[in-house]
Amino acid sequence: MQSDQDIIIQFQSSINKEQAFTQLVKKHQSKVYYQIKKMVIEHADADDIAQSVWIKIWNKLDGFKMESEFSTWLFRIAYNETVNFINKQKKYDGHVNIDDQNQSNTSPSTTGDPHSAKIQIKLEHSILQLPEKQRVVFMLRYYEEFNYEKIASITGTTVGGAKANYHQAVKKMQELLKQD
Amino acid sequence: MNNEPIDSTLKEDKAMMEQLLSTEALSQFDAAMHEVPAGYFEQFPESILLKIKATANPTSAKFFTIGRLSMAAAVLLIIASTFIFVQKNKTDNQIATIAIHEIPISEMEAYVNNNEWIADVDVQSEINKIETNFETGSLSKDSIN
Repeated sequence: MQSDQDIIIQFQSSINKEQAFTQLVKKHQSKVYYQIKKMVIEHADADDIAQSVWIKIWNKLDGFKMESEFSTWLFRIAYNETVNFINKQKKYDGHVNIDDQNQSNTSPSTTGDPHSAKIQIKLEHSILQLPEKQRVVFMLRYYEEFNYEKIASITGTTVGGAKANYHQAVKKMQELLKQD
Repeated sequence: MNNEPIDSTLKEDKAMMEQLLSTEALSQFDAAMHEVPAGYFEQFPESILLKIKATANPTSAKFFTIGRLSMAAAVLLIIASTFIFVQKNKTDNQIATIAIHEIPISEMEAYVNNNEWIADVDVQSEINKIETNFETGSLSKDSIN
């Protein structure tokens, strides 16, 4: 498989932009999508955000100077788009109705056992109540196993700030799980 | 998952979370988030390219139309203001030229002499009035006017 750098050079040299772009999308689409979905939970929302992320990548890739890793840049755009989406949603709705979201999103196929279904709902509920930054730091640290340097670059914070966010996320989840 | 070696703090961080929830619950959440409609990732690159083409073309066409219109308007404005400025200067110069060159000297002399004569007449009539009033003893403050 071609490296990101090679694909980007191909894109920037305008030899075959579409082909190069398609390669990049194929290579990274699932990671981007999963990161977004863990933040917004719903597929339709994650799909909308993922589309705007890739449109932004298409528009900005010519100016990408490869000073940072492409994946870091991509995740940063995905993070910003997701936060923008959540903020817009908050403005429209006043607040996000977490219970409604949980009811519509918890897939019975993944939660055959009622007990684990209950835990699943609790977990989703808690995750949705975390502030955006804590939510993304938790996802990137726990599930993607990114180091704090990368997380800090993606979320536009310091390494110390990212560590603090993870710890705060765990603490907040602990409180939320107790409440339920 | 990235290929970087797992640092010791990562283990600790994960353990913190696993004290709250079982690894099973956490991985179930992960699995639920990995559920996508059938064929989603296969179709996504094509659909995103279509969307890019669809959004890029009308936008650029619209941009170019607006850009061209504003450019044309700006050029027209510049031409119009330049024309008005030139015309105004031309008229001013013409008036100045007529005033200086086209008036016959005799006319100018007559104009000046006439004014002097009128001025003489006015002064003289005022003097006469004052004298008359003085003689009749009815001089008032406003008599000069």
